[in-house]
Amino acid sequence: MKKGWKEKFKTPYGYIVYILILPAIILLGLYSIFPPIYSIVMSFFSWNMVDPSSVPQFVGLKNFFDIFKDINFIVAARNSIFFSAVTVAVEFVFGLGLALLVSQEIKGASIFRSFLLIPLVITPVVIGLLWRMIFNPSIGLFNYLLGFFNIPAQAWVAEPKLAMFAIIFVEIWQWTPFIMIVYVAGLKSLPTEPFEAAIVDGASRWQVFRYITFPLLMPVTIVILLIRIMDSFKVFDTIYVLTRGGPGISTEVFGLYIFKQGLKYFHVGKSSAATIIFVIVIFIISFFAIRKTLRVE
Amino acid sequence: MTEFLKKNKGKIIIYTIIIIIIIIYVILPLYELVITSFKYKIDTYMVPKIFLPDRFTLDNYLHVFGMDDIGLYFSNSIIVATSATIICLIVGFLAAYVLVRVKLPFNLSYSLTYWILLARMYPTIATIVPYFLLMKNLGLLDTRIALIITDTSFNLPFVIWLLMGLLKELPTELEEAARIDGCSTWQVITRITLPLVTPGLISTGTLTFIFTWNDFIFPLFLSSRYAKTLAVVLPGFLTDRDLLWGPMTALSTLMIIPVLILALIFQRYLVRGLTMGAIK
Repeated sequence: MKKGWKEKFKTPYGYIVYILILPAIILLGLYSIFPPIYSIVMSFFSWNMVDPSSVPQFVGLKNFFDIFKDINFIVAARNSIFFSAVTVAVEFVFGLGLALLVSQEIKGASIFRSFLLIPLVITPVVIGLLWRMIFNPSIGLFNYLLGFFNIPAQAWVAEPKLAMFAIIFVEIWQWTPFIMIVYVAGLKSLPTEPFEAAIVDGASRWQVFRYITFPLLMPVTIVILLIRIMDSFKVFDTIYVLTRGGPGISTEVFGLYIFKQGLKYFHVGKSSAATIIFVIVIFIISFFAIRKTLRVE
Repeated sequence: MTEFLKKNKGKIIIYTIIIIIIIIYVILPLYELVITSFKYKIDTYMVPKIFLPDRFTLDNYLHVFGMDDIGLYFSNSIIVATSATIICLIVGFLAAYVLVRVKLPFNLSYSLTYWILLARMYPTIATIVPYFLLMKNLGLLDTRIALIITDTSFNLPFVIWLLMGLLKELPTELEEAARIDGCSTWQVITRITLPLVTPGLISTGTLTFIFTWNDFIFPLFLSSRYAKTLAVVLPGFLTDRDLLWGPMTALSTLMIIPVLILALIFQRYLVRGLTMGAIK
C-alpha cells in the first residue's frame, strides 16, 4: 500500500511541484474557500458583531426568510438586475456598432486603443467622484451641456429615478470603450472569404451583418457578455461614492446591501445570507462563462 | 468611378467624426477633472467659465500636500500595490508553471484550473465580513500587511490564469534539453523559463499593480488610520459640511498619473487581462 501511494504522487518533474503550488493554493483558499464557508455557516446564525452582549445564535433559515421579506433586499435585487440589464445591453449595442463602423480603417490602432482604455484603468473611486461633480446640479458639466439643448438642469444624484440613470450612465461610459476594443479585435480576426462571397452574391450590408458577421462573432460575444454581466453585478466602488445607494435605496445594488448589512448594521447573519444568495447568482452565470472559456482552450 | 469615390469619401468622414466623438467622450470628463484641480474654489461655481477659468492656482495641490499623513497614504498605496504585485507574480508564476507543464495525479490540473477560474468570479464584496473578523482576530486591522494579503489573494486567480496562457505558448524544447542534461525542475524554472517569460511577467505585474492601486473595498473596511490608501482618502473630501472639489480633483489627478502611464505602455496586455485571454 505504501509503495502504491508514493507512486501515485510521483510526477515527471519530481515532488517539488507540490511545494511550488502550495502557496498559491493557500492564498486561493484564503480568497475563495474561507469566505464562502464562513458565509454559509454564519448565514444560519444571528449575531451582531459590535454588540458586546450579542453572541452567535443558531436560527436556522430565519435569516433567509427575513431577507426575502426585507424591502431593502427586494429593491436591491431589482436594482441590480435592472442596472446590469440596461448597462450591458447598451454597452454591447454601442460597442459593436462603433466597432463595425470603425473596424475597416485602423491606422493609429495603438493610440486609439490607449484612449479607449482610459475609462477602464482610472481608479473607480476617482470616476465615481468625478461624475458626482459632473452631475452636480449647480456646478456640474452635465447640466451645463444640457443647457445648450435647452434642457433644464436636473438634480441627477438627488432624485431617485435620475440617480439610477446617473449610475447607469457612468457604468456605460466606463465599459463601452472596452466592448469596442473587444469587437474591433474580434472583427479583425474574422476570415475574409465569407464576406467576399457574400458581396459577390449581392448581399446588402444588413444581410452581411445578420447572417455572417454576427454569427461569426458569437463565441467572443458570449464569453465577454457573461463576464460583463457578472462584473456589472459586482459593481461597488463607483456607486458607493456616487450615490451611496441613495437617495433612499433607489440605487442600492446587491453589493451595497451586503456592505450595509455587514459593516454598517453589523448583522453578520443577514449579511452572510445575502452574500450566499448573491454568490449563487454569480456562480450560475460564471458556470456558463467558465464552460465557454475552458472549451476555447 | 465617381460612385466609388463618393463611397470612400463618405466612409472617411464618418470614420473621422466617430474618432473625434470618441476622443471627446473620453477626454472631456478627464479634462474637467484636471482643470478643476487648478481652479480657485470660488471659480468652481462660475459655470459659464467651466472650461477655461480666468485664472489658475496651485492652491488645491498645496492643500493636498499639506494634509496630515498624506505622505503616509501615498506610501501605503505604493507599498501595498508593489508588494501584492511581487508576491502575486512569484506565487502565480510557480503555480502556473506546475499547472501547465505537469500532469498532476487525480486530474488535479484540471480541477485546480477550474477552481482558479471560479475564484476569479467570486465577488470581492462577499469577503468583507469574514476578512474583517479574520484580521481583527489576528490583530491585523489597520495594517498594510492585511491589505497586502487580501489584495494578493484577490489578484492571484487573474495572475495565474494569464501566466498559464503565456507559458502554454512557450516552446518546451529548451526546457526538455535542460532536463535531459540533468537539471532539476527548480533549475529549469529559474534559469530557463523565467528569463523567457520576463516580459509577460512585467505586463501581468502591471495589471496587478493597477488593480491593487485602484482598490477601494479592502482599504475601506480594513484600514482606519494608519493603513489608509489614497483610494479611501478621496471620498473624504466630500462631506456633509463641504464639498472640496478642488483638492479632490487635485489628488485624483495625482493618483491616476501612474496608472495612465502604465496603461499606455502595456495596453495590449490590459486587454488580454481584462478579457481573461479571450482576446489577444
